[in-house]
Amino acid sequence: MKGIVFNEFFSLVDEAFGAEVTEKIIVDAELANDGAYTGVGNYDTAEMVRLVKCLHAETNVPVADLLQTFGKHLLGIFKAGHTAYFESCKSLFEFVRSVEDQIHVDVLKLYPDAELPHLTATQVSSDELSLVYRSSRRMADLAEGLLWGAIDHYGETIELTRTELPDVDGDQCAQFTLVRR
Amino acid sequence: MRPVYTREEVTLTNLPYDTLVKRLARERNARLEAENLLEQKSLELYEKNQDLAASLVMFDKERTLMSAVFNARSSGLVLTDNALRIVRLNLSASTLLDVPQKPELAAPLTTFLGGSEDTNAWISARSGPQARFDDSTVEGEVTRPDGEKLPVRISCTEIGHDGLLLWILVDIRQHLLIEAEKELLEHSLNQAQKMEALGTLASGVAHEINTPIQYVGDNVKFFQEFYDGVVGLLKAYDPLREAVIEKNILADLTTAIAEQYEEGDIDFLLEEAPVAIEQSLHGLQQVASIVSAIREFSHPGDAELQTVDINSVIETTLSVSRNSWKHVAELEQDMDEDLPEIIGQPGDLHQVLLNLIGNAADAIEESSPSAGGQIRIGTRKAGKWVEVSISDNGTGIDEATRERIFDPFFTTKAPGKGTGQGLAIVYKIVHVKHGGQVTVDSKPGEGTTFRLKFPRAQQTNH
Ligand code: HEM
Ligand SMILES: Nc1ncnc2c1ncn2[C@@H]1O[C@H](COP(=O)(O)OP(=O)(O)OP(=O)(O)O)[C@@H](O)[C@H]1O
Ligand SMILES: [Mg+2]
Repeated sequence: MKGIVFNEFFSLVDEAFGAEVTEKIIVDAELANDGAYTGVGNYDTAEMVRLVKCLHAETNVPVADLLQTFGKHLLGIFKAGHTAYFESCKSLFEFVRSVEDQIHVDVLKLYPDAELPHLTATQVSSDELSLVYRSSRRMADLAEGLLWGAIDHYGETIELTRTELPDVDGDQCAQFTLVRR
Repeated sequence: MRPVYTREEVTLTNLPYDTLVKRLARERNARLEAENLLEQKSLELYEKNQDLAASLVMFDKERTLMSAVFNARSSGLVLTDNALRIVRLNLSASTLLDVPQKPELAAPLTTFLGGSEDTNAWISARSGPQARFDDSTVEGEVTRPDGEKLPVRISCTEIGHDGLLLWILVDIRQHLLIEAEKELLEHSLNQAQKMEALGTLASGVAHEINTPIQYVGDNVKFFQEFYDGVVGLLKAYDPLREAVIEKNILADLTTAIAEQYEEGDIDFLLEEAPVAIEQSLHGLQQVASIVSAIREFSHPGDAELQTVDINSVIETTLSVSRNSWKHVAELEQDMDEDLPEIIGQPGDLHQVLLNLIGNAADAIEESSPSAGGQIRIGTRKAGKWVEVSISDNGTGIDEATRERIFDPFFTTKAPGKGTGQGLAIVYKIVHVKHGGQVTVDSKPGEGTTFRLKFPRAQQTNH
């Protein structure tokens, strides 16, 4: 997982729970590098999982909620740095469809070692889009948060439902259905 | 895509001192790591660049190689698009089609390539969207800009991209020539087999004749002796007869003898008989030598090398071949009587001489010189060599022809007359089998001399 994800996580924790909490979970999580992440570096995803667990222990907020909030925050960050992706897509559906084929493809160009999920978008009808998430990193909650962030950005009225799917080869799978109202 | 960073950092001044210290330490570590990463990436980039440069060099070499191979192929290679427009030609194709090797030519291949209806169908089956390909080849012809047509064998394969097709054109002029030569060879082989059968027959006949000739000869010699005896006896009677006539006694007996002489024309017989016997012996001698020549000639199979007296080989050849030249030429011989022997194979040497004499007779027959045909055969010592020369005053050989006369199948003679193998055989026998040399001197219109040189047999010291 990219260092930038960790750093953004820390800044979110700073913002939401205060710097002391951030410092505490860094100690609790027993991180290999004592929490020094460089944005372009690549780090073990397990460290993120430990950080989220420690944050949960510290704050009692459920892990799912933490990840979703983080996802939402992350999307804001992405938006700030990459307005072009958002400007080139006129609608939420168009944006969501472009993640797998365009955005994550560009991520890989810059960071060949990036670990990305499989996202399969299917336009069910003009008002319904399905997105299937599959990843060994098991971060469907993060994906959901990212989706919520995107929904906020486009300001469309969207009903988001999530269906857990059975694992495939140890990968977490989940289906998100987005219906335009 | 570039990394993104949080815009709103937590206001640092609000943080307690020890937290600030921790964050500073983390920032420093993160920076150091970033620097390491940067170095690592720079190195990777450098290596990738090197790889890329190496790949480019390799690619360039590969391209040079391919184009060298493309151009070095002896077959004509033509690249076309699937509408059969020429994209590229190799050197051989450019020579074959007699068009420049320019890619912008873009002329359709079919302006140069065609043939029978089947050939044209074969070619067009490989163009357009419904094109089909297989391993087959077809014979067709190339038409050059000047109208000259050349036979070619055509094959065609797909390159595998951009609808490109590779046409392989093989010039089959040589091939057709070889086919024709093969046919000729078969023909002459048949001829050789016939000759061999004939030879076997002749040698059988010669053998049969040999025995009676022997005893006829013995008998004639016997009669010669008998005659000499009888004549001696008769001569011994002569003084007796004359004395009796002188004494005038036994007149009836002497008259009967005189009558007998008269009646039998004995004087004439006595005079002519020795000539007749002499002639018979001579004739028999000739028959015997022809028979032995035939036998020797028809046993060329004994390939073992032996010491050979070239002069006697020449004699034999001449007596066997006399019929083939006597009506066109006079023969003149200039033989070195004490010619050293050579190591060789009499059968082969006969063959050599026969071929050369045959050629000489042909050349004379063709030019029919006003002074009459002359074939001159000579032998002489020449240092370590024994030299045989065969000259004629026939057509002679011009410069251009001279270069090719030893080529198998090269002939200037009408089909059916010459197979063009004579001198090839001479060459092979003299050079390869005898370690000798053949040279030719010729003036067109005046005549030709072939010279054979053979190493003389090692002299043994008695
Ligand atoms: C709704 C849209 C998006 C969704 C659902 C989504 C989903 C995800 C998820 C779930 C991950 C975590 C890795 C995993 O689960 O295997 C991830 C990683 C990431 N995504 Fe996205 N993403 C979205 C949009 C974007 C955008 C707009 C950007 C950037 C312009 C982006 C850049 C990244 C990067 C840099 C990573 C980190 C890769 C790593 O850690 O090696 N994503 N994405
Ligand atoms: N004595 C010669 N005078 C002129 N031309 C000659 C003489 N000997 C050979 N040639 C030329 O060389 C050619 C080749 O001779 P070669 O003996 O090999 O073949 P050929 O006589 O044509 O046929 P083949 O001997 O097989 O019947 C002849 O066709 C002729 O043109
Ligand atoms: Mg000949």
